[in-house]
Amino acid sequence: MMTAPRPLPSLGMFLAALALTSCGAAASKASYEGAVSEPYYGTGGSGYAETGYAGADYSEAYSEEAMAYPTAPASMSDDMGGEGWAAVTGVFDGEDEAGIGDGMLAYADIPKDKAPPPPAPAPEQPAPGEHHEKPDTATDAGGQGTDRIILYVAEMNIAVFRVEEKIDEIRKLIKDWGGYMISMDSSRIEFRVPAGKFEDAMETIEGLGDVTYRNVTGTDVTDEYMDLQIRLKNAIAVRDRLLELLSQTKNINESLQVEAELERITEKIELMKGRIKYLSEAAAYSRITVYLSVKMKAKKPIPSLYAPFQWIQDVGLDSLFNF
Amino acid sequence: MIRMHVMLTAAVALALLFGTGCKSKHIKTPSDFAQMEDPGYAFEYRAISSNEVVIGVQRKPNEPKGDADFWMNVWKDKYPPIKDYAYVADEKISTSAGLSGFLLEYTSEEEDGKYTLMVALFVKKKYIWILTAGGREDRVAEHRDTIIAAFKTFKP
Repeated sequence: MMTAPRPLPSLGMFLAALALTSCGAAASKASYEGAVSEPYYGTGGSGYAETGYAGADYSEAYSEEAMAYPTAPASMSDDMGGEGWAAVTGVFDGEDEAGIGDGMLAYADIPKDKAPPPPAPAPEQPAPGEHHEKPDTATDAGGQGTDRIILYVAEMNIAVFRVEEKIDEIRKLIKDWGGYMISMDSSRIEFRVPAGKFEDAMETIEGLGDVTYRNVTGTDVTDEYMDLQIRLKNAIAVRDRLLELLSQTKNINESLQVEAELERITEKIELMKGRIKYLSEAAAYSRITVYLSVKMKAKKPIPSLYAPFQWIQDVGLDSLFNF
Repeated sequence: MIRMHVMLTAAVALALLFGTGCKSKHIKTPSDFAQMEDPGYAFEYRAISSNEVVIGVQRKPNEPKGDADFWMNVWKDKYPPIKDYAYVADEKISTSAGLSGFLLEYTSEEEDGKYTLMVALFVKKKYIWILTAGGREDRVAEHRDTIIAAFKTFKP
C-alpha cells in the first residue's frame, strides 16, 4: 500500500535555526548545552527546528558523530618536522574532516554527557624578554584544559662587525634548530624555529653581537582556539545535515535554498579550518626577526685612572702595523 | 684596513730589499721574517713576514715602578678595554738568558676579520720591554711557535 511521502521539514524554519546556531561560539555552546536526546533530524510533521535542533540537544548525536571520526594520521608531526608541532598533534586527534585532524582537540575523547572543559586560567604574562611558560608545552592543551596555547614572536637588533657572515651563521643555526627561513635581505633575517628551541635560539643569537634592541611577545590564543573548534564541529554537523536535506528536496526552489546555505556554511568551515591551522602552526613554530647593523669600533675614552701609564694605548695592532 | 694592507705590502717589500742584512741586538729575527732597517717611531725593532705578521719590540719607562706581576695585571685587566681587544690567555715565559716575564694573548674583531695580538712583557728596574706580534688570526697561528721562539731570544 502506498503511503504518502512525509513532508520535509520547513526550510524556512530550518534556515532560521541555522542562523541561530551558527552565529558564533556562544550560540554553538548554547546549543551544545541543551539536553534533549532527540534525533536531530526531524521525523516529519512539526519541522526541524521544533524537533530539537535549535532548542536543543545535540550533544548526544554530536558526540556519537565525533566518536566515529578517524584519528588524525600519526605522521602529521613528522610532516611538519618539529617537536613543537608534535606536541600539538599529540593532542588534537579527534577530527579528520577534510584534513584538519592536525589541528583539532579530541572531542571523541570527551564523555557524551560532558561539555568541553573550559580552558585553565591564563598564567601571569611574562615580562618582556622572559618566558615563565615553556613554549614547547604551551601548546599542550591535552584536552585537560590545563595548559595554554601561546604564540611567541621576537624581534632583535644586533650590531656585528660583519653582517653577511653573521647572516650566514644564523642560516646554518636555523637548520640546526629544525626551523625554516621566512625571508631575508642584506641586513635582516626572519625565520621560525620549533617552540621548544625558541629560548635556545634567542640566547644564541644574542651571543652573536651587541644586542641593541629586543622585544618578545607572547599571545595567548587558547580561548580563540577552543571556540573555533566548537564552532567548526557545529558547522560540520550542520553541513552534513544540509547535505542530507538536499537529497530529500522535492523541487528546484528547495534545492536552491539548501545549496545557498550549504555554500555559506562551507565557506565558514574553510575559514575556520584555515585559522585553526594557522594557530597550530604559529604555536608550534615561534617567529624571530633579527635585524643586523654594522658595529662601529669606537675608541673608548681613557679614564684618568690610566694616567700614570697612558702609553699602553700606544701599544697594539694599530701601532704595530703603522709603517 | 685596505690602506693598512697597502702599507704592509710596501713594508714587506722594503724589508726584503733592505732589511735582510740587519741584525737586531734585542731579538733574533725568525727565518721567515725580515727585519725593518728603520723600525719606526716608538719601536726598537720591527720585523714582518711575507704574509703580513709583524713582530715589534718597544721600550717604555717603568713608571710607576712596578714589578712583573703589577704590569701583568695592568695588561690583563686594563689594556683590553682601552683597545677594545678580548683577552684570551696569559702564561709565564722565560728567555734563554733567564729573564722571566709574561706572555699575553688578545684577539680583535676588525672589519676584514679577526686579528691576534701576542704581547710579551719583561720588566726591568728602569724599563719595561714589550714584545708584540700581531696579524690575521690564522696567520699568527701559523707563526705562533716561531714567534715564541723569537721572543725567547730577547735580550734587553
